Amino acid sequence: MKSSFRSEPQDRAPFEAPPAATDTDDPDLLAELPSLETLEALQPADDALQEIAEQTAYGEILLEELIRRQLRLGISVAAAFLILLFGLPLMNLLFPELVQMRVLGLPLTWLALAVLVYPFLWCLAVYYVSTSRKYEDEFTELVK
Amino acid sequence: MQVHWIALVAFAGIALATIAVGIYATRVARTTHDVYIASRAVGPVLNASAISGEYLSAASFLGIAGMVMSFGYDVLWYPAGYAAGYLFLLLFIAAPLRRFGAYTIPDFAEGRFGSPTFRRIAMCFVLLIGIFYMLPQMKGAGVAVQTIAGLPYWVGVVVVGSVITLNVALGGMKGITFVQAFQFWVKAFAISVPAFVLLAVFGSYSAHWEWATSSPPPALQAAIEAGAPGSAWGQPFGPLAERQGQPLLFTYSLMIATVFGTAGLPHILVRFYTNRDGHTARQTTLVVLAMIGLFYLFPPILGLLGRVHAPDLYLSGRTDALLLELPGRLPDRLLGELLRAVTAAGAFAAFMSTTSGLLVAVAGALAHDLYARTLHPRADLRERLRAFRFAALLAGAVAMAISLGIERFHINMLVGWAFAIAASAFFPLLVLGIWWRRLTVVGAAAGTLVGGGLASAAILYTMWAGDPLLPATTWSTLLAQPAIWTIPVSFGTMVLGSLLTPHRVPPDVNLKMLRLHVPETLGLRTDYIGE
Repeated sequence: MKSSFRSEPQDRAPFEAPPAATDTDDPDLLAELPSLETLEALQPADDALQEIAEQTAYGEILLEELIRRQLRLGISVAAAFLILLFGLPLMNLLFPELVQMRVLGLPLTWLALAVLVYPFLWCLAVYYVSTSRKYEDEFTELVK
Repeated sequence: MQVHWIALVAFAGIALATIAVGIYATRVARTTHDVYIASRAVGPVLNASAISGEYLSAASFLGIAGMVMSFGYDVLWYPAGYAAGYLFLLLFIAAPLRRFGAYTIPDFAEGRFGSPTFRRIAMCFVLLIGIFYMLPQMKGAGVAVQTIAGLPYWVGVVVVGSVITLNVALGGMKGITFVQAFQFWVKAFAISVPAFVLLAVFGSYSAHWEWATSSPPPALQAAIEAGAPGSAWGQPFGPLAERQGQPLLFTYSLMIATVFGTAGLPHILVRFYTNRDGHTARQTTLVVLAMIGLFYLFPPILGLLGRVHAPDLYLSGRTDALLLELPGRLPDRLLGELLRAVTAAGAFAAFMSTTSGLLVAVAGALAHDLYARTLHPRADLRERLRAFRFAALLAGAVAMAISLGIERFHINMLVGWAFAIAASAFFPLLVLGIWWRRLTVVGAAAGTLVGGGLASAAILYTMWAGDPLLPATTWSTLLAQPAIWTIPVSFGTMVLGSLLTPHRVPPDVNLKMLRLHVPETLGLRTDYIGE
């Protein structure tokens, strides 16, 4: 397996034997795609990762913590969006005068659903991508 | 019917360009990996263009503008829900699915639980969704060719169907990645330019709003008196929702079906495998959200313009073809014909890119999940390539044959049905499979079967026994848009089934979770598909 992300330890065990020759035209392609049907073949990068893979208590806690944080982040962002989007039909029902207020010449509710919803979605997505990346970097630091 | 030559030339031009790229792609697509997954050499922007190109179908390109014109405000929930689906895909599915290394959803089903039987169940739903989704595209092609060339409905279906089938059979995933990315930009251009030109010629967005609702021009006034929707058009719970027994319930069930359906569409999820790693999968989704968000600003504008400038379409019942008719209403005939050529090219790009993506997914399910993983596991690369090409031809022919019989259905409704199955069968499976380690194969399979089965049954009932002319009741709304109850039932079945069979939790579940969630920066990476 080619790791372009960080240097491999020099003393790592030899990797699983490469797959038998096939009739593909592109040997590089196969070199990049290891024959990994099972997880026994996962190559731990170092001791901390080994711990996770061997499901020691410490490793399990680390992974559990990462999954929990990511899930909590996902649920928070989803909730922020759903409350607003699913709130809009209720607003339409309960406050018809308010949602018909003109903004830029269009009723507020039309503007919200035909225009504003898209930049809002995008902002939430940007926040999620940067935060989840941060969590992953923190996890990587801890494991290293 | 009048023949619009410029538009017909644009139409033929897109078809020929697609065939040309397809032929070129046969030289590029040499290996199984090229055909199935484009060798994962696809960057986020190109991949996002291809996903957006694949996703923005005939229903989005022609259907939404036409439905906004027909029904007004309530239709805006469709594009908002379609776009929001990608947020949920991003939050709960994109990166882990990529990290797991599964190519198809059936791969995930088998890989996560080690159950070949579950792969077959998932494969059946992939095929069902693929066929359901392909039909509206083929129908859109028939309608467009009818409008543009005055040829019979079946000509468009057969011509577009054959070009795409051939293209996919020859080029596979790698070939269509470039075609779909190109077709996204064709569509983005084709929907934004006419909107800008028409607004520049006729007046502003808000001026059209006034004309469409409070001060209709004489032609629209006449159409309203002849039965077109009146001022309720611009209001929530207007002509679309008020025909339902419970307008609020209808609105929510529509939203749930579009949002969670998008997040479970197999032909979109297949494309995430072409990302380099989990983080790239997230960035791709981010770019997709920007692209389709920009795109969806325009169909409501065009629907509004259509209501003001082409109200005769209400009376002829041809609002589906609004985008192709609207440019002809410009005072300048040449400009009108040129814009019609642009929208025709966009429409054609829409059926081609979506149908080709679906064909790749369906042919992939048949060739990868059925042939290579189940029937003939020892098949070599050459045999698997042959199987993929044969599966593409077979699926294309079947879809064309069915499409000829569905002329009378509204195209967006058909897409809604495919979405309900994706939302009820696959979304719960993916979310619980990725985030809940106590999920067992018994619970997951039961939930997939129950959710997908109930959604399919409700939809088939609406197709054959429901009468769209009868006033809708709460029950008929729940059957026509079943996702609002089938998703909770599916989740519930999965949780209950898993809690009842705790001994069936996969023994290697911790490794599966590790594979799903550990970032690639640790240098730990694996792919489910080996050779």
